[in-house]
Amino acid sequence: MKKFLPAILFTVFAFSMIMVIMGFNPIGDPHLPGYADFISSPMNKHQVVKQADSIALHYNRHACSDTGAMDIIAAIIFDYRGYDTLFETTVLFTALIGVLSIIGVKEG
Amino acid sequence: MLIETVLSRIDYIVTVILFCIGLYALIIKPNLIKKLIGMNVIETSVYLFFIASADVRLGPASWQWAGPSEIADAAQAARVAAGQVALVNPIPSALILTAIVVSISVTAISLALSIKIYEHYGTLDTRKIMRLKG
Amino acid sequence: MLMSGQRDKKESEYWSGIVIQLVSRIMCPFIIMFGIYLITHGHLTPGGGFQGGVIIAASFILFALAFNKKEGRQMVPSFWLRCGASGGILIYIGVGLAGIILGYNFLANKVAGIFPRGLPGELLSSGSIFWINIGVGLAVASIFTDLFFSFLEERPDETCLKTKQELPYRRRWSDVDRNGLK
Repeated sequence: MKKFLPAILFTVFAFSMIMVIMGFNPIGDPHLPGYADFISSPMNKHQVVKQADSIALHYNRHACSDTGAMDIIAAIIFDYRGYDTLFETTVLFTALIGVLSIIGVKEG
Repeated sequence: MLIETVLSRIDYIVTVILFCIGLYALIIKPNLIKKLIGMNVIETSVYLFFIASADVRLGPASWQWAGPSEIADAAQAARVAAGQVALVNPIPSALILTAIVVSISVTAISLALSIKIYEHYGTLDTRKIMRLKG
Repeated sequence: MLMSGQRDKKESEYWSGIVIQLVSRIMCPFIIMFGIYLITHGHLTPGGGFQGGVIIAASFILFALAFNKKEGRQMVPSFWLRCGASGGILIYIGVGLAGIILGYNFLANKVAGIFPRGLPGELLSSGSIFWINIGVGLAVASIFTDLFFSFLEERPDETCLKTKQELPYRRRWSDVDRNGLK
């Protein structure tokens, strides 16, 4: 019983999460919650969404003319969110310093 | 009806199952390395959830219409600018790139710490380590 | 830790086989070239500094796994790896500071107009994104290679091993197990 109790608990947890996910819009729907607005939550998925307000659509339409980059993701990462990427690289550098200080590799 | 509902959200269901597998390994398994593997599985499920939520069926990828002239379709670009064609959402891809780097940093630090824990205690079993400290 | 099976052997005894060595020796330049392509075309096609840097680091890791770690370390010395890791981030910060020097925001791209902004689709276009990609790629490649080699060359701490018998809180689990402290 002690062995099967965690499995039962995680099954119940997965089932509840799947029941929540059943309320989401189907995959591939342009009215996905992340895409258009916060208004298009899974609760009112039949609501007509004003797509012009979405930041994703703004990126899709104006990224090329704003930055000159063809790849919209590169435009977002390195131009719109340049601070984020700078400190992301710093996080990686800090992880290297942490590993070197924990493990203690000799020079050379 | 239920089959259709499930099949149209099959990616989300796979992410939930992956999340539960990772959470099981993170909580139940006593070995530290297995806990780390479970943490990485959870992170992978979160990436999958974000990328699946960005998908737009039959919509072009974010670089396909804006790409070089041999790739880009001028009529398609005009339709995108007019708002008639929905593109794949580029924001989750950009966010997940950040999340991948952070998870790699966390994994590297955790592996280094677990190496030191093994040298110190001679085991990676968390139950034995907890008993040794007391 | 990674090559713990080979730790007890001597360095010269590690032999991965002629096929792996030959194929990795042939493939390494092409992997590096593909990584450089991903970095420099990061603003035109999918890819960028992070992905290309990881691919370049993977080529060095492949070389160190196919040969022994001493030959892998000869390709990428520790000093140059740390110079690359710092220099990549410094390139990034320098590109950002160039906007401030000309009187614009930090990391200003289009309004500043410092870097060449060709037509979209050319290699030297999109202003600062091209140079930021190069900096990030250099940093990521150096950091991942250095992480791998630091895990590879990890040794048990000698001071820890020396004082293990004396200090009471550094009991190993095997000792406790023998004493029946379960």
